[in-house]
Amino acid sequence: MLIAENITLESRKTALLAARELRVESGSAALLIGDNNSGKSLLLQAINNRYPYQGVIQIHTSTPLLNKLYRRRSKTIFLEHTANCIELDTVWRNILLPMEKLSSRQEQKVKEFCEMAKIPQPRATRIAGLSLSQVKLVELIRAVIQLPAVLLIDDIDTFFDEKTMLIVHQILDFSLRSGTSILATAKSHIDGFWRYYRIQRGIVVQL
Amino acid sequence: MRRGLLLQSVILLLMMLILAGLHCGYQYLKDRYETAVSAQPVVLFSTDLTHFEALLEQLENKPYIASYSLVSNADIAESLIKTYNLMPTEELLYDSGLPHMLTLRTMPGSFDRVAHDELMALIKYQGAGIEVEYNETLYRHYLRRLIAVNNAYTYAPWLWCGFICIVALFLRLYFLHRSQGFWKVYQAAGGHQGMKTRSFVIDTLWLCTTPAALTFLAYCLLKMRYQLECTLEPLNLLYGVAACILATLIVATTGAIKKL
Repeated sequence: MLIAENITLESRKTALLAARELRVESGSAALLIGDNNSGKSLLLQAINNRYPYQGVIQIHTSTPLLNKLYRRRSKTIFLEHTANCIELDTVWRNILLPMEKLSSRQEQKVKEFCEMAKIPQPRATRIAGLSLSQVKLVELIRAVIQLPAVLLIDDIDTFFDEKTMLIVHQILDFSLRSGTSILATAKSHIDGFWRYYRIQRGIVVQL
Repeated sequence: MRRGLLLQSVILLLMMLILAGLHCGYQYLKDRYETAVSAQPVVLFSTDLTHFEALLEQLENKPYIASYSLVSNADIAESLIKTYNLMPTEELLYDSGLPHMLTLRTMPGSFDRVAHDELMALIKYQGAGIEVEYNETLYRHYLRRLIAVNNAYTYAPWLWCGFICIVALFLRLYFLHRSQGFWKVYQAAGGHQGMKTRSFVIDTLWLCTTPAALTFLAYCLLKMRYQLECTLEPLNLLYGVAACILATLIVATTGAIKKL
């Protein structure tokens, strides 16, 4: 679960963005809508501890059992709007990059997701040969398969069209079922999210 | 194994082998020149045996004298007669007043310039009755070389260790810079936060120990197989290891890991 309260982001001592309360329950997905330069990416960076902020940001799991496992899955993964893959490496190796080993279930899921992303041979396909949306799908698969506590996706509508967005939701479902909180940003409304927030005149409001 | 790490290991291994070669080469040349310096004996002639007896008394505890042989004039005469079959001139030879001969053999490694000067002074102290037969030119030639080798050895390993440090420093910086993209992707992918530092520490341990260990292993194998005469102490290679560690510390303390 992600809770951000009384958040203020500043740039050169000028208030950029304020959020009284932003809450994403475990196993749910929220969409933050805002125009260009409204501070969407900065808010995600702040949640990921990469931008200074004032206020409280809490990340925790909802059930006692998951709290016990918290240390194992305390990761916050932030999918930036730039592609973060090793171009000369294969899709498979890129997906495996942050993990020491992959269980057979995870392996099966990766294969399944790659099929959905139209990458039938992930072990033989190099990232350099993929389109940008496929690269972002690879990043998404890599993030989802780790079942992070919080998954932050920047500019989700930039890379995926409506058709691909269906695949994205199918992939996201896997981690949502495991209790991941997903917060994505977009410039316009996208269906399929639990909760919607909008940045209006520098303030985050819930729709 | 990562190719970058392998390349760094190979380069450092070559540099460690050269460091070991410097030590072994020094020992080889030192032994060779010391043996050459002590190879020629100091031959003394005197008609008065008491000169030699006094001299030998003074040389009794000198560490640079390996052995000596004293041959009296009668023995010399007999030897000459036997060698050249000089029977008709036998009496003539005994009456000719041949000198006694003292041959001094010096100890390799101990007969340096100070010892040489001391020996010559002691011989001179016995008076003009002793005639010295010794090739000073050859002695000075080898002594100069020995001094040059010793002087070179005083600085060469340190300079080489400094070079190892510089090369290790630039290798580490270059490969850290090269891996910058990988770590950016790794961390963006949700990889373990401490993995970069862990990897740096493991790489450091590997690069500091493996080349030196392999060099020493190669030395041990060569020594067993080819009966090498030189002796390589692990301490000789530890200076190289220290140079690698110093390079790593410079990289780490200047914050290069965090920046890259």
